[in-house]
Amino acid sequence: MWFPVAGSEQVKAGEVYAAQVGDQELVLFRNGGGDICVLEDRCPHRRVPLSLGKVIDGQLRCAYHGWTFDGKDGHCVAIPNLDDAEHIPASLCATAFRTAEFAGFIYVAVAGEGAGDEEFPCYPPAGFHYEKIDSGCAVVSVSSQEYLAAMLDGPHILLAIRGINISDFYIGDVTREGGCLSVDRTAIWTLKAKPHEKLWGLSTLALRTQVCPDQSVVRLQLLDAGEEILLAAVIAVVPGKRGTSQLHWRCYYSPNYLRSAPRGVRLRAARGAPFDVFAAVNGQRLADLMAGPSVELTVSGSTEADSAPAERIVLSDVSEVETSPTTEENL
Amino acid sequence: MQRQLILEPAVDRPQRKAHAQDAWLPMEIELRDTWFPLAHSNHVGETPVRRAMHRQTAYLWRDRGQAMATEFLPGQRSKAFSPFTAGTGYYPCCEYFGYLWVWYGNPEHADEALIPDIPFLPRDGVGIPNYMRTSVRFDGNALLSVENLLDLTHADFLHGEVIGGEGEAESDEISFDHTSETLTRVRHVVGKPVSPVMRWLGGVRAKYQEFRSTLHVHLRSNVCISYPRFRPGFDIPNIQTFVPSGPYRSRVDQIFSLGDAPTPFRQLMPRMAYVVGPQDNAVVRPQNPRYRAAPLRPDQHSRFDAPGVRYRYLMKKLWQRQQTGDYRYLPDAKDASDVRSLLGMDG
Ligand code: FES
Ligand SMILES: [Fe+2]
Repeated sequence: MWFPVAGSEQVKAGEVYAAQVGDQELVLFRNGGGDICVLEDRCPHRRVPLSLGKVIDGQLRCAYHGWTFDGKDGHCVAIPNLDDAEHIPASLCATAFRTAEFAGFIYVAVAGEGAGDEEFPCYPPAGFHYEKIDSGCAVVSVSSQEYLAAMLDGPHILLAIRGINISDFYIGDVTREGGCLSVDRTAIWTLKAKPHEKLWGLSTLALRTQVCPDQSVVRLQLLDAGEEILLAAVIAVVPGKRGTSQLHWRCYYSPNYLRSAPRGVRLRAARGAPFDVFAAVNGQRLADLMAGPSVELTVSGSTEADSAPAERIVLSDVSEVETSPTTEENL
Repeated sequence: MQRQLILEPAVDRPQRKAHAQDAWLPMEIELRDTWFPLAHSNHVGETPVRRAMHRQTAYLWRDRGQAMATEFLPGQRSKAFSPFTAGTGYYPCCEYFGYLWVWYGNPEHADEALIPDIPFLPRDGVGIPNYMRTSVRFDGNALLSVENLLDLTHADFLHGEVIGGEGEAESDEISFDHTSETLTRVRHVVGKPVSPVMRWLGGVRAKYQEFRSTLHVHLRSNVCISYPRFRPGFDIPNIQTFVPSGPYRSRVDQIFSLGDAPTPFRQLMPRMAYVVGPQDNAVVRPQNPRYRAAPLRPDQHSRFDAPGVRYRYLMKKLWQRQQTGDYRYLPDAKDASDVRSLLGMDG
């Protein structure tokens, strides 16, 4: 399984980028060919973070004693002050991780789960014609699981789309597809910040939220009445240390994005970047968020979703309830 | 609960087995029966200052000029006191070489003859100018800082602009020697390009110089006596105390002895500790949690690490002996008593 760790923009040529997946600290950089390299962020010599070092000719040089590492296999290729004739044993090496880059995201492979080429989870929807891309990143003090759950129950506390008010009026139930859960909710073109629960489903827009817990990815689509995609976004929710999550997102806009917006909204919404993922989550709003479609995340483990049906409460004694003596007697 | 993911390595490599003898957990090493130079003498006055030796708190203060090191604040003797003061609340302490030395261990073993000889400082501490004293913090275990000081290959990367690491020397040799209580490392460089600092502030106009740097480490107390000699040029002897303020921090009260050096080098050199210290701290600080977390994961070494590897070995040996209740100084400890010749001062 490929697991996203960063956005491509974060790792600039000649620079290092420190990332983490859970407790695993990583350093990302590009080698001479521009290929992404991922090493454990720990020098095997005296454990100093390699992310304090420098990229020299596409190789990573540790800040402490200058041991230099190849990014693809982690081998130590240079130790300062060694004589030219001296050979560096192959046992001197940092841990390199299998990595790939696809459609603006950098991935690492999860051990034992066979990462194939078809499995990159972050991409714009197939056939979606977009004209513009935005991207960003942030770290929030919410665990990745809670963040994914909140995305299903109340994305309005986690992100904003300018000119759009996201309601919590769901259109139908949660659907499942290959371990991912998806739910649609109504959304309205408006500049007024009405409480989202007061918004009613007379609107013509829908926000589709798809959560893939295995790869910790959220995909969003804003659909118009004809179910044409106006905007699509992908958010990689990377679990970090101390229960934090690193968010790396990309948003793709249709050329028709603002076509259906009322004139006043269109003028305002056209200014600046319309899509934003909040860099801080309001704890009170998160605590107040009522459980909704996210219960489906816990009802059955997403990996077993296809084999085992979701657990349902069975009202086995319905007939007995109906035939038992009722209210009249008690009155 | 945050989920944990195991990532797939890019290359299949047999995992090296962790051997107990590779284990290095400096945070658990706490050697006793030694004198710690706990403060510059001139930092101790009527108002108590709080310091620590490992986990022991000591308050340093003066009573009518007499230095005291106590487990209590003056006038607040309430609790029961530790075996480090034999229950009295008063640590053995004395003043030499411009420091207040406090005994860490069994007070019955406190012997002033065990205070390290610092041949370039006045024994009574009189006449050490203030500008030759500095105090620096290190945000890691004290032993990691001693390893940093023993190691010389980092200087070019971390301190390049101060020390002027650029340029090849004619020869560069490292040797070391040890007893059960000390480790002495010598670096001898011939044809070293003169650093800009020494040229412009120190008045050394030659292009190249010979450089001999000796570091004499007292294993129990982390007291490091450093004797760099430059020819042509002058000596910059200095003392670096790495007093463990608990397992995760250490405090260094340095004294330089720059009587040989010309003005303004003499006045400015000690200030350089405030540039070099934080540079070292930038690497020691993140090392700390990583040694705490994975003591069994072996470090990799190059041939330049021989003194450092020996240091770990000697420290573990002392620590093992102390674990069995053996705090004695072995007869070989005396071999290091002729410090002048060890430091290369005569010659
Ligand atoms: S810690 Fe990286 S080279 Fe020494
Ligand atoms: Fe240093």
